[in-house]
Amino acid sequence: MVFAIINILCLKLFNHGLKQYYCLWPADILIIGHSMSEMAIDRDLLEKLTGRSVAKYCMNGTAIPDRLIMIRHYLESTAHKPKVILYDIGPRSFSDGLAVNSHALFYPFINESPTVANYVRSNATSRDYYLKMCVPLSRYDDSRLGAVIRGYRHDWKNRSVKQLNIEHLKRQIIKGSFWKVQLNPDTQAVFEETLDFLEAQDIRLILLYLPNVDLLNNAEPEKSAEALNYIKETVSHHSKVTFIDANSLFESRHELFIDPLHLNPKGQQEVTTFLANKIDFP
Amino acid sequence: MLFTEINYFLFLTACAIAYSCLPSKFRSCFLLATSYVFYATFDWRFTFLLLGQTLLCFFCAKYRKNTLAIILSILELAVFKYFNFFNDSFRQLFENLHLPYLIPHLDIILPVGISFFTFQSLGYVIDVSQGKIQQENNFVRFALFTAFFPQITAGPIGRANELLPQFQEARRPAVQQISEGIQLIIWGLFQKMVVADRLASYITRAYASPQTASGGTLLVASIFFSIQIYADFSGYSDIARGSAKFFGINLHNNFNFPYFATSIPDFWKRWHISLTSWFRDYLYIPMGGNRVSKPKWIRNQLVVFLLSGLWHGANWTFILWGAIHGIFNLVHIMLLGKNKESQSWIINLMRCIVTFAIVNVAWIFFRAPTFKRAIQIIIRIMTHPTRPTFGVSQITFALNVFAIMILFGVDFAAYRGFTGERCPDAVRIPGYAVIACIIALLAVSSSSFIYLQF
Repeated sequence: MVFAIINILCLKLFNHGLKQYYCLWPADILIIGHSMSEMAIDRDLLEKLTGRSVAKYCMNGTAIPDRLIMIRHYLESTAHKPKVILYDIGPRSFSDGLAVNSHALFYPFINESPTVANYVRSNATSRDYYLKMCVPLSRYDDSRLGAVIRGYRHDWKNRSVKQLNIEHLKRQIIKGSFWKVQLNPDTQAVFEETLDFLEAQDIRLILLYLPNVDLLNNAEPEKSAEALNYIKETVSHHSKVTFIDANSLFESRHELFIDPLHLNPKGQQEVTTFLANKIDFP
Repeated sequence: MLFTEINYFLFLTACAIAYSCLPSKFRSCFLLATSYVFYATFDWRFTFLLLGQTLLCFFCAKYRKNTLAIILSILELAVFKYFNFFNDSFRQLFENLHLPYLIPHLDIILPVGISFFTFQSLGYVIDVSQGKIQQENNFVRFALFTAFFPQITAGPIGRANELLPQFQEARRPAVQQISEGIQLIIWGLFQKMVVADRLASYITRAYASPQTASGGTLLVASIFFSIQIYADFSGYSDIARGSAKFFGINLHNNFNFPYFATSIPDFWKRWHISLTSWFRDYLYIPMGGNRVSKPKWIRNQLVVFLLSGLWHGANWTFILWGAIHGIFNLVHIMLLGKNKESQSWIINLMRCIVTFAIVNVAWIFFRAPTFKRAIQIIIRIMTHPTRPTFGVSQITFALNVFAIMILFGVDFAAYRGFTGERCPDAVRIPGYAVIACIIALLAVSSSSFIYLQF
């Protein structure tokens, strides 16, 4: 009984903090993405510069299929439609190998959202699913706990102190040890489904090509161009979708990166300011 | 079927219920059958090896052929565990001498628990031959002694004089025993899944490329490994002891707070007690122990420690680990004698820290894949005393430290005697519930989310 009571109390406590961190509240601007958005966009600064309420629902390792779930989850839990969604996209958005078991990111919400519950049920093993249902605390991992703490502190800032090691990156690229560009047809289908869904919801979508280091961008120029052409082609079929290139301006500024994909705090400030000035918010 | 899998606990619960419901005359047979089923889940082929070892020791004890039992048991270990090690070492030597070497490396699968059940059954044969116990005439009961599933994979190594009478009684477990069993299992799972498994990632990254890790990181990794190996082994032993209680069987405690030891000899009275006592009783004492000339006594000590190292694994680093402990053990006894615990807690604390430092350095050799890598790590710790990194993330590092603090906090409380009747139910029951919650929250699982990119 003590075990059950602690589970229930802790779950309530943790879920509240997590919802704070993922900004599951009504907002005009919703940012959906993975760690790139998390590190690249300063929620507080964007809110200040645009004068609009901003919700930043970004999770490390979420691929395009996960992000459709996040969008649906947000709409379900807030019963609110944002005026615009900022969604990070790039040549590697359709590649495999971002993460394993990404459905585990959604475990904390399996009791709260039918969309999340169905998604988890169809991806998790029966054993894991029922274990998570019976033992609520097992739904959390270290990253989620970190998000809970940051949620209570209302801290969405990029606090990384790492520095990009250009020489190491050059060696990795020569060896071929980097995340390759791929166009997975299943992922492309979900991407198109996302655009169709948002169009049906009458929600404006802005696709952000967030900065990657130029060395990585130039490692597979043909494939990168093919992926970007696909994105732009798809965008052209949707009237409420805009594509913004935030990469070209910043890709050569290595001092703004902690690694080939992620920005440091200074980079976050600069990119956020760029977006606030570039995007015409309603 | 590992102790940390849900399937194991379903299996354990089902067996325990069935065991309690059966008449006592059928319990040993049932437990023997379930033990073989358990062992077969690893690889059914090795049940024949287990049966063979059981038959060998049973009949060798019956007909007083203990030399035959010793030779064949050691041969079994030599083939399955050590053949490739010695073979590859000789090949390396011959290649260095530019001589041909024709014996190939063989693909031998190491049977789970072979080191444990071989030593356990051999101990019985030696005890019978020395008249310490009467031979067991009931084959089923003896086979159960060799194969008892809670202890077959990772010990503790049981003694025939302690276990056979318990198997003979085949009592239904008391409620108190079941309660103790649950507590041991919870604590064991905490040590294994929360402490040991969580530390693995940090240690693996640091030891994989020590040339790029900072000295601080390697120092932290070495300390983490000392804790990991203790928590892993002790955790498994506690789960084994807890599981055994479900059948009314009491297994010996295998770890007695080894990191609170105030000297290397003291450490070896607290670490893997079932193994060290086995080597003491069946190797060290028959060789003469300390009742021989000084050179022979030194030889006896070193042989025991070298073989202890080799028992842990087939690599020269394990032997070196044993040698380091053997040397420090000898140095301590020869220079300082058998020191008793001091009245001053400060002196005891300092002794404890020095002992831990020595043990920690020895563990570097145990963990490193090669001697060269171990030396590289030690040199880097001493020459690059820079700040350690947090590893994968700060939150993970912080939670690891939190788990370690709980481990040593509870261990210290138990060390100071705050257990059993001295620990009231009002503290103990919620305490175990909290530990169970921490396991649910922090335990590493194979189905966890894994981020692959940067």
